[in-house]
Amino acid sequence: MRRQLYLIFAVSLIVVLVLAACGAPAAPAAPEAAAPATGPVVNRLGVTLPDDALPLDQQVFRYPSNEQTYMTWDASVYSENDGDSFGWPDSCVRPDKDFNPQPNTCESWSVSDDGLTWTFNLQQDKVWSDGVPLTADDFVFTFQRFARPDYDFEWFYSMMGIKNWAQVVSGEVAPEELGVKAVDDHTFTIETDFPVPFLIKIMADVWVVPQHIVKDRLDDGTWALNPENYVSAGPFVLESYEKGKRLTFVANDKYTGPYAPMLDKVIVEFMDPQVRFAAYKNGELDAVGGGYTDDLPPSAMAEIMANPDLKKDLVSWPNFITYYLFFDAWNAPFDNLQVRQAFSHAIDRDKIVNGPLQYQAVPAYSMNPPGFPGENVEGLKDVQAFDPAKAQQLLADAGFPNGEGFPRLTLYTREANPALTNAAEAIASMLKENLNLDIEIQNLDYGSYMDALRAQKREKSGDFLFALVPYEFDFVDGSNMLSVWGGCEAPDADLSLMPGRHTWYNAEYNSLLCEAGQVLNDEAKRNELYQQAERILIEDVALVPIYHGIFNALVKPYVKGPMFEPNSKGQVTWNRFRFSSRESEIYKSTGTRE
Amino acid sequence: MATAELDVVNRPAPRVLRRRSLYRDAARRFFRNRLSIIGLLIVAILLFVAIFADDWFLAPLLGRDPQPLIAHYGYDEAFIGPTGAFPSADFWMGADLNGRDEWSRIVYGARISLSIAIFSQLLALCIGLPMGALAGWHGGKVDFVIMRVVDIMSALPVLLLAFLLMLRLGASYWNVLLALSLTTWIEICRLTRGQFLTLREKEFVEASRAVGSRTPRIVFGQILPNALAPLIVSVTLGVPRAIFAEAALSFLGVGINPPTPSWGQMIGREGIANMTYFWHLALFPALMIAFTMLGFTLVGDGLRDALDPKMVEGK
Amino acid sequence: MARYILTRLLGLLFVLWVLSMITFWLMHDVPGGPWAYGQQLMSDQQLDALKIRYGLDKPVWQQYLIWLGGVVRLDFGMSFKHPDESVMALIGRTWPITLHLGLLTLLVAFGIGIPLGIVAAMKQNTWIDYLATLLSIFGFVTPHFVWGILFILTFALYLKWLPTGGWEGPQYWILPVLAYAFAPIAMIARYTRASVVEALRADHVRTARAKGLGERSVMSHHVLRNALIPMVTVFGPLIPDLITGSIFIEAIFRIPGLGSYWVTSTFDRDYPMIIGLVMLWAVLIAITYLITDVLYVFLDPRVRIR
Repeated sequence: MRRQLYLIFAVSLIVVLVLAACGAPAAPAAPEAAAPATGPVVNRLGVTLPDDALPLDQQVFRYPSNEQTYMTWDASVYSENDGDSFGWPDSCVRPDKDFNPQPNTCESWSVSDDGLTWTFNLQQDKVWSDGVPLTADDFVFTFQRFARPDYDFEWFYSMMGIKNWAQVVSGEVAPEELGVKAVDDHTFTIETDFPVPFLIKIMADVWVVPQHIVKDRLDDGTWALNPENYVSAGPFVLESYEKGKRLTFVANDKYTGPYAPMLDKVIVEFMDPQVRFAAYKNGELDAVGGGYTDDLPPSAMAEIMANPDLKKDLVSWPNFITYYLFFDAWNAPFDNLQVRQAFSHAIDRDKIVNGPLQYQAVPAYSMNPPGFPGENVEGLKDVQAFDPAKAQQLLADAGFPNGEGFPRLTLYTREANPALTNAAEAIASMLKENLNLDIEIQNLDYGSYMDALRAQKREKSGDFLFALVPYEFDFVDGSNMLSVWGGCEAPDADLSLMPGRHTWYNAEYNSLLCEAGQVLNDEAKRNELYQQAERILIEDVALVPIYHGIFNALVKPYVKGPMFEPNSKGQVTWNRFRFSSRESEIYKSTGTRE
Repeated sequence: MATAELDVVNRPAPRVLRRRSLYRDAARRFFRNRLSIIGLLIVAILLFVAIFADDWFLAPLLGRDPQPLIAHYGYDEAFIGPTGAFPSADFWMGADLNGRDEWSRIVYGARISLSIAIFSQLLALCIGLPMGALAGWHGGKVDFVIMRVVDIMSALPVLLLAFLLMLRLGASYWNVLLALSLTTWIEICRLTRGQFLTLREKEFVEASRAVGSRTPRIVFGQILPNALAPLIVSVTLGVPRAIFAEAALSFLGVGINPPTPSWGQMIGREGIANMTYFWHLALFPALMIAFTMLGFTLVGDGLRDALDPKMVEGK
Repeated sequence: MARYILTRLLGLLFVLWVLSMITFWLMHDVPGGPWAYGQQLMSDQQLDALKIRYGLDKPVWQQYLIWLGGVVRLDFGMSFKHPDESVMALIGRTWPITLHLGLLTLLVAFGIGIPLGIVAAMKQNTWIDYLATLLSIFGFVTPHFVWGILFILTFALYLKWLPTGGWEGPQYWILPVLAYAFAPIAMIARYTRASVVEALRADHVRTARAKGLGERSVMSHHVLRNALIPMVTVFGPLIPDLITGSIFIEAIFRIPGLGSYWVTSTFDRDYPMIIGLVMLWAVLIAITYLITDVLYVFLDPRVRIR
């Protein structure tokens, strides 16, 4: 018996060891030093790669992501897999490095003098990856598909100007009545109820859907999860989807657009953020970071800064995102402007961005971040400047000397990552130190948060006073980020149905935004109005901006290409997927980039 | 001692002395065990640290906010030291990413983690003990109903249930406590019922009944003291489990609300993610959890050995 | 015996029924919904339309009856998170991976834990005993997510022996299995030691020794047999725990198994998946306890079923 037990012990050890031994050499190594090149590398589209390119079988680019529900935006914007980075059905226009719309599927466009009718001309020889031509009907169909009431494409508020949009969404008129019409196979028009000067910028996010595949499956977005149905007009197509593991994309050999890929394959590995940095260092990934997930937490950043080898791989650029505190300005105590002002002067943004958010943020004093159209960062930076004495005075004037009598507050966060929680904790400690207020922080998951936010505005529940959340741009236009706080008022609308998502209201702000929307062909004039509006926002302390995020990414030095050329501001961006043609503009090289 | 034991034999009413000698023997056995004493020492130190983190007991008398005693700073005082400072003479365990003194947070964290663990066990005891006693004493329909409830509760996946509860109730100290005790009372209920079932058939209970003692007197005076031993062990060993469970909840983002520190939250939110460089953010809370679990486990083991008469002869 | 098992299975049906009602009510009572929330506030019409799309527009009791009707036909509905898969298909896809990991872990845990406990018991109060005790306390008191990250740092990043994660072949199994097995090894070794120590003190062992039986014969016939029987009740419940996976291990090591769904399904408000998982767990627990009890009867002749 004893011998048998030792036997069991030995066998189990041997099993473990055999398992270890029969495994192939561990991690997939970084590309080997190049095999001697035998002529230029040409990929399956016939694109000739630069001279220093690695052989085609090594032109595989790997990066991490989270697994989501769909592959397409026409099912749900906020649960799409990262896969659509490869422009699976391709967009109408694509922004360049300075976010100006450039021709893509739409070769050219024009707008009528009254600003109400847009005409788009499609590229003539564009085909889907199954060989079917891409026509204007596909675009018309795409818009009709977007305009469904049960579509959690919440983002489509930006399409509200399109004629009959609201009526189609609510089911009052048939989808065919929507103001998007095909003129011929390669021309379509969009009619709007009122001028939407920034419509062209939204078109960067209109990912055209293959009507011939989708038209019988209006009910769901699952069709694209299967590689057999995944029909693309973009530079890459889905080769395989291994659930829970990875997506593999392969260059689309039918692609004819301006963003022909150099890479042969792109692999999206589903990976917990906690282990991505380790996997990158272990050579299992070609790039990491550049999103909101905590791919590169503070310790990773500290390590990168201390390690010259890693620092060479680092690409950093500012994101158009603002983390802000908001209040319930319709209920006590925050209906008092002095209270809001006190809060705005009590928070030392510099300390936060130099402390817990080092390398990850710049201080914010305005809604629009630096470099965003219509921004007024310089002009507004003193309105809410850090001034604890003034903050104390304001709070005392509001009837709460030294914080006495102030209700105990909870500062909410929405699915906070550690960085955001750290910022919230720093804010809480500053409010304690400077205003003597006790603040507890509570994180809510997305569902709970959105329910509470909706109840606060629509039902004036009043129990959701104070939160720290981010807003990231949807399209690069001065109107976008300000729309969080208001917009054109519907006549006689109840306060709870006012545009904007927060419980703050200012008639002048709304009329300024509305007026700006009427200005055609003069972006400078529009931006001037946006600046006036933003000043109201900041002076009335609708929000207390805390910081604008910075994206950090590590990209292996053998990844080269036009992607790494700086834009007009000298920034090199490792762009977020939906605004970039990143995967078309890189290749793997035998050398290293500068 | 020998005379006392002789006395027991001669006394007509063995109830009180029987109990006293059982626990006195147990205590003697417990304190003879070196590991139990180490465990007890650890627990005592932890409780001391938790209680005297600050002078909360003096503050109301002096009319001011509590001042740190064992802790160096308040747990929420940010920007005391540089972000992520490594351990030094000034910051014994370094500083966290908000520049807060890690030592102070560990010390205050002891208060939170220990109190959650201990109170959740006591709460579970408060639910489980009466239910189990009722089931075991009454038997019949009452027993049937209670045991079906226990069956149902024990078939629930603990983590999933705790999560749903936390999402429903919202993250807070009391809700964590509730979620943890709601999932642990079952075991206590089962144990109590088992004890009552066995004990109510014992001669000394039947004797009491024969002389006309009333039910409460039998239950509280005779059965409960004798049934307590395994419960004490179970509760003691439940404390480390609760600390671990709280750590798991915090790791997944629904535990204690910041800036209040708990060890689990310190590991889960900042520690693990930053372990590659700011190693102290994970190491110290992890050590504290390990240390606490060790202490309570040793005490629990010692109690079990001491309270289980079968173990006597071997020692 | 057959009657006993039948009664227990009927009891299980009752438990499942009540449990499904409780879970159904609780999960629908949690705020939020399965749809992806955008940045703007939804209008009432949109919210209503979304509820219809997800079948959440009816009163909860009606939804429950509809669900129950499906369950009778073994149809647990489609997952919200993976709308191209039914709950059954999703569990069928992910559970085998978790099962694989869990069974390997069990093998390693018992393979190391039991011998360790026996050796510690036989060599009581020697350095082997102390080492084993120390090792098991060490394993017991450290959360397995800490082990997971430590192993990745050590074996993948520093020593470069193994990949950081994934589930492609045998070399990917080692780190998660070790990290996962640490706590069970500790627990098994502790119980085994205690159990064997107790058995060694029993009268019949003393008698056997007095009769002059060889040490090996005493151990195998009198000690281990009696020591291992009570452990069945301790180790039984360990099994459903291990074979349903751990979110920590599976997230850290990128294992596409079932483990993470125990938590993510609640975050995603994936109602069909939540209740499917609760049912799966309840059945597993019930069956494990049943097998444990039946096994106990076979192993220990003194126990009889009432």
